[in-house]
Amino acid sequence: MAAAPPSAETTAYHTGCRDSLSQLYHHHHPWLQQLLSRRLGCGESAADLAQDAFVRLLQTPRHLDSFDGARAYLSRMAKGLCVDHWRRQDIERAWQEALAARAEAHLPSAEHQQIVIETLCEIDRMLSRLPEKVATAFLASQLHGKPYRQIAEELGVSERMVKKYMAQAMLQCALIEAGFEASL
Amino acid sequence: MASAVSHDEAAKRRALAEAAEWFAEWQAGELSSAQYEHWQAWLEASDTHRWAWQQVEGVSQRFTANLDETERQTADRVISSARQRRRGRWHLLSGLSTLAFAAVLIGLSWQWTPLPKWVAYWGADYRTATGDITRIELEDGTQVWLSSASALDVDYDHQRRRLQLVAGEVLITTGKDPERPFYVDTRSARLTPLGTRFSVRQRQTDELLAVFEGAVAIQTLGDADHASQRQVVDAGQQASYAVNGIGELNPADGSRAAWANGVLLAENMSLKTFAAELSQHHRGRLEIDPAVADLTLLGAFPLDDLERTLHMVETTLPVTVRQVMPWWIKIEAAGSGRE
Repeated sequence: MAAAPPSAETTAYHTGCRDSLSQLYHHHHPWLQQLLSRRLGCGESAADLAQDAFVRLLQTPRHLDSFDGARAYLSRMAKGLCVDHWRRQDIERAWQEALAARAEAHLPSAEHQQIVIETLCEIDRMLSRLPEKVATAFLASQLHGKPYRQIAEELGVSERMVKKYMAQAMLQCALIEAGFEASL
Repeated sequence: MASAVSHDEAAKRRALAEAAEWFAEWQAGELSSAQYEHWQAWLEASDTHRWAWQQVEGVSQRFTANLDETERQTADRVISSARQRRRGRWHLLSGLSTLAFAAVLIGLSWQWTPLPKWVAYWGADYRTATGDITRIELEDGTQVWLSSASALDVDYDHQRRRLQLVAGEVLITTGKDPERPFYVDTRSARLTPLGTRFSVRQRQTDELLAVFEGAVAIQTLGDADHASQRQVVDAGQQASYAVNGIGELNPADGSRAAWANGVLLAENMSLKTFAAELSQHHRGRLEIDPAVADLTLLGAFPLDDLERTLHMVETTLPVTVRQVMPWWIKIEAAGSGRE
């Protein structure tokens, strides 16, 4: 079923160029969608994510030098897309659970909820590489403005350690913010 | 030119690290006036420093800009619950950090698993963490229960339905589809079920097939010295096999289906085997004193509640369960050990 790799001169892609991107699309889109569909177990989400992948390639052009190289790159990208998809699902579910505890009258509008969920995904993405205590300390300080002494007590560590956690967490987030590191 | 770019990046990374240190000072509370002047001097010393401080401010913005007071109250609970869920699923792991993490797990797990198997495990379509049991429903109505620390690839197309057991154990109830044949490939054989419910498990050196309904044909792969063999296993029977041949048929062991319901079923099972089964579902080390290894157990034990299961064992047999380390449990003869 898999199509034979096209001839050498057609297999380098530059995704900033529309013709080249559409060739890439033609060669790899069905394969990518199938890969995503198997990983996610949901054809509909897979179709959406496969489209996202090509949109990203258009927005951030890349040179992919061979058929196999393109597949390797796309499959790494697919992994990242799945992680993001799952993240959003997890956050959405946890957010719904938290909302369920609130009174009907205090429910925010659907539009605002989307903004909140997007913000939470972004925070989660930034903190995803950090150990549990570091992330907890950072959230307690950033979201609730808790003093180091209180955070230290809650986590059972010294205040000096909390300060270290804060610097560690901020550095990780800033490296992502500056585009030096990708989030998980 | 490339080296100029990376030199610039190194300076920026250094500045970010310094900015993060300053941020931690700021968050600690009021800066002393000496510290404040020191910070100002740092900020004014270079464009790179100012750029780095902007990144820090940008991060802070992200955490608070779109959230009101109540949302902030909920935010960390939402994030920590999402993090927990993710840890249970293992799907975040990729690249080098994965290998480091996997190495730790291998170090702690009861049976050491060789690396190539782990590589395949990470790449599989479905996989479970130690302690998890997952039910998967496939497009043709086939139901698959994936046991703890197991991995499965699903490869369906319009001609055939093929499953590949990558690691661990599955229990399968096949769906009907007269158009497309169904089979399961394992390390050493191809299994062709005929409308059935059966389980197959990879062990260190061989595999074990147990059939509960219908029948399953084993076709071993064979190797240079052994021809491929075929054997039909009927409902109520089980057989172990490897690349080089198929063992004799025995009555099917109910425990090979019971785990799908979260139960470890022991029918005169030795404590040694019991511990090995239990270890499949829990991280850490479960050690049995040889003096009690051959005592036998009868009963149904919850797989997801180690504490209760061990307590049940303690009340049924003359043994003591001792926690040597948080991850190391030892079962020994009652009255031995500590005193």
